[in-house]
Amino acid sequence: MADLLDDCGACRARLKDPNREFLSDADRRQVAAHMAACDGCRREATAADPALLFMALRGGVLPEQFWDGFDRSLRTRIEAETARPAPARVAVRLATWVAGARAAIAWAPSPAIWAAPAVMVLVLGVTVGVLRHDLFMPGPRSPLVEALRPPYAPPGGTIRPGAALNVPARTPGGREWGVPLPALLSGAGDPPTLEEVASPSARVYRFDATDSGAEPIYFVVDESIEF
Amino acid sequence: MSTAPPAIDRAHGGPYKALVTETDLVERAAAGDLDAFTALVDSRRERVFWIAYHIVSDAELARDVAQEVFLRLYRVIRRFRQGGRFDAWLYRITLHLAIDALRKERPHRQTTSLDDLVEGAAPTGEPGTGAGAGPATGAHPRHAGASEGLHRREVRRIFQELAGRLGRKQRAAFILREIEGMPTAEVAAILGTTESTVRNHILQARRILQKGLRAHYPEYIPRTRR
Repeated sequence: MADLLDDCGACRARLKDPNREFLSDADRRQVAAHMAACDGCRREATAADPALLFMALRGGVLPEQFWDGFDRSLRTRIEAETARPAPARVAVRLATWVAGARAAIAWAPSPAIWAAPAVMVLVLGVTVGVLRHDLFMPGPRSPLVEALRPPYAPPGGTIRPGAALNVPARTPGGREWGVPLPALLSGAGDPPTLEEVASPSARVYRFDATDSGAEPIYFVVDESIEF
Repeated sequence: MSTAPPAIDRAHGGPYKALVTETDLVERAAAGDLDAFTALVDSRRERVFWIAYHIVSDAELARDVAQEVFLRLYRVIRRFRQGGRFDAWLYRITLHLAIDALRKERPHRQTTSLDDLVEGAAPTGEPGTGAGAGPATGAHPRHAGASEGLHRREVRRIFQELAGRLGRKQRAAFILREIEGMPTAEVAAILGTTESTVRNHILQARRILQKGLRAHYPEYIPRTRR
């Protein structure tokens, strides 16, 4: 490899090698030595790889006066620190831990690396929430749904269209129903039958306009229909 | 230099002349020997300073960082494990503190450059001397005399600007190996990674810097005759 120092062709071949990153440290030193002495190779190399421009920034020898007072100042700080009473062991550990955590944060990968999994988890959560929202919903919205279970829906099956309804008198919480459905269905007038409504889980509300003598209005709510 | 503190003389020819191994110095410094510690400081301060300077681009700040590094080293040197890589440990502390200092500094503060003062920067025969094409004229800075400092200052400003596009490890790897000329294995030890990862970081950094230079500073790229 000694020919690299004198041979421009060998040096340029090394510089053009696509695997230049894998040159050994000794080869790199020789290539750099050749380029330092050879204007032509240096220009060609910098034209091909402009980043070589920054190699000129390598630190040189600093003038001695630059370090004036450095050692003395450092020594003074060390002696001052040594003279102070040693901090408690726990405090030292805490300070070390904080410093380590700060260093870890400083060297942590960019936030994008953390953001990608976070977004994935979010998308997954929203998808599950939309598709299987029933997992997160409370139980039946009304005990009437349970009481008026359609004949084609398990379990039970005791209720058939036109059959007598078995609606509990009170809600599971012990309160009165807002609308007395059994009375409504079996009362005077012509409320729609379950066959007409075509669903045993329907709730029927009747509104009478008492003064005008107009036809009553029937309002049917069917909770068995799912969109 | 006559104004240099006595510790420097001790380090180079005093009671520590016989202590040729790094291990001896580290052991004594860990035992509380301040002279041994000073000898360690003197042998490493220039490299520590330059690593910090390449990151913060301010001589005064880099000097402060160097002092902080050695103060931190003195506090923790007892924890250094025998057989470990002392230099890698020290330079890792340097990188951390320099990045920390850069983050704390105000972005537009007045900086001090020492590119005019440096003697024999990028010495011949060492890695890191591949550049030298001046802007537009292509004149070699070694022949430019007083303009050499100006050229270096300008190149440093460009590096500082373009290095902001690099990741932390890309930047550190590029500075340590391509600018400071450290062996790949040592850079890997400092960054706590493998040699192939270091090469990969440098490759990525080189591409980003090339792109930035070609896009914004084409006058610094020498033209070759075909």
